[in-house]
Amino acid sequence: MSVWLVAGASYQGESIEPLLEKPDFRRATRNMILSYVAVQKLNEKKPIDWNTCALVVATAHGEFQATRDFLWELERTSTARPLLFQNSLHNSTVGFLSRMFQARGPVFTISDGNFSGERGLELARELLETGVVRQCVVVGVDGKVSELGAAALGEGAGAVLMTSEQSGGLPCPEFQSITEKPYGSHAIEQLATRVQCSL
Amino acid sequence: MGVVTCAGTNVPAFWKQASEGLSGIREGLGRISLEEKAFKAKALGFGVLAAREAIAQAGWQGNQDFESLYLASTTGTIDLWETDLMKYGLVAPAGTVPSSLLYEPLGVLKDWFCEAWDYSGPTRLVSTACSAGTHALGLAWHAISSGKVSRALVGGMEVLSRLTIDGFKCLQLLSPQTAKPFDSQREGINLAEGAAFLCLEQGESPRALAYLSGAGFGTDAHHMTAPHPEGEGLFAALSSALHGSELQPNQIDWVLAHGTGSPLNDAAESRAITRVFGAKSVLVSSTKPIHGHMLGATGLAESVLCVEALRHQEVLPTVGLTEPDPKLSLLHPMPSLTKRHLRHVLKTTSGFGGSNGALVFSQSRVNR
Repeated sequence: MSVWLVAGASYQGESIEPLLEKPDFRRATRNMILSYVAVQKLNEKKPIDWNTCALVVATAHGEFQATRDFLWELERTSTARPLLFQNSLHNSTVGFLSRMFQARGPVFTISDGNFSGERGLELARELLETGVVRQCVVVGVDGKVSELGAAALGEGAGAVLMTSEQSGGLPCPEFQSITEKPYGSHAIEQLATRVQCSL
Repeated sequence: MGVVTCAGTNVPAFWKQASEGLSGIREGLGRISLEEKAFKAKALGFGVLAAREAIAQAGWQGNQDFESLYLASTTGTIDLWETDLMKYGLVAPAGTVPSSLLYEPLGVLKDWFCEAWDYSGPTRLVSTACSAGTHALGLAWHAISSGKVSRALVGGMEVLSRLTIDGFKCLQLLSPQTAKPFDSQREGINLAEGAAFLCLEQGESPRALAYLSGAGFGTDAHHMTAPHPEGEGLFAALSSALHGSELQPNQIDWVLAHGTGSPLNDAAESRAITRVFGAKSVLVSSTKPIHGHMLGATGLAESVLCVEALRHQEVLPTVGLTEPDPKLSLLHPMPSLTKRHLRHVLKTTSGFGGSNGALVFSQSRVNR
């Protein structure tokens, strides 16, 4: 079965301050916010049936900052903060996105270090080829950890919409290693950019 | 199949302890002492031991015989990392995190597991919280059913950690006693660690222990940690699993529920089950009082119990259930091992983030 890429979008470094003023985002992590920006842009480009569309979030480090903050506060003050814990799990971002977009189809979080992006795209292809769904949004995200020292992490979020129905999209390539330096969400961000340029 | 749990470190011992109603929970937690020091991490050790048992039982020749690997975990090797991170936090000058602490607990677990088996084929590590195990097995089912692969190794691995224990405690979800799922006096869950692996093959086989007949996924889209009060996502998963297995609700003989013992989870789950099957129309149990809640591995460990139940033609009761909550409208097996004619059983899971999974297991045709 053929799989098609029909839209791509990514976080372009724009200010997220306006979002932070909204109640739903005040307690969101950076991963949640960046991925939301990418998916929202995608949502505006192509109609997505969120009742049946699958949603795959690929992330290498997951909610590293929330985890770090939870553990540091626990060690320093013996206080475990519920909000930090609920935001610390790898699955938190997909939970946030599913709520914001009312995504009721299958949702998955994939993590495989430097190749998380590729694995997310592979899973989406698998979901489409095996007929689990006909649409799949794949989001790659890894947020910058604040107060980082010399070993800086880049950050970004990219999202692509893949379908099993040809509708003006690009044939989806097989993914082996799509980037020269695969890292976390980077593969999806790069693919999203290529899709945007080509369509 | 293979398991390592606080209620048995191989499948026969696990089934025996479960069937005798002997809990492995101590002071509210299901801990396991790992004797082998050869493993880099406890979760890895649990996984390798469980996978060894499964692969040996399947008669596979190690990594040559599985074309695809599906793994499930929520926190991976976090126990190796969190202590160092916490200690560093006490002394860190403001504004630094050294690169050595930029850890990827899931990716590392996958790498080490593959290294242990010298495996370099396709891998998926699913981390959809408490539904990760059922999701991994469901993905494998879809891949095999569609002919993409003919064999898959599916496994979940989880270790207790400060993050999860203190995290669930601050959400007021932990019970200091053994959990009492579906009981009117239920007060929370028992976290546990462990691993479970299953070997899946396509087609009929005289060696088949049971058949995986269907799998379904559904999402609540409601809250980060609380389930949808009407169990919307689980209802979707149940419906999808039944559709995939081409079975009607009245053909399901037993539901091994997620049944964590948390007030909200049990209530939401009971609503979803009732919507699909009708009130008190199917036997429903939870085995978490025996082995605890192993997060990403729990769906797979309980799938092992589903298969064993089909093989032994015996239903497991919910140990410790003394006052079934009348608001839940569920039918529970008698509080003793019940011999029944089981053809099809259904396993459910619900996880943080609103992810839900359901699996249908059917009796091996050899035993019919």
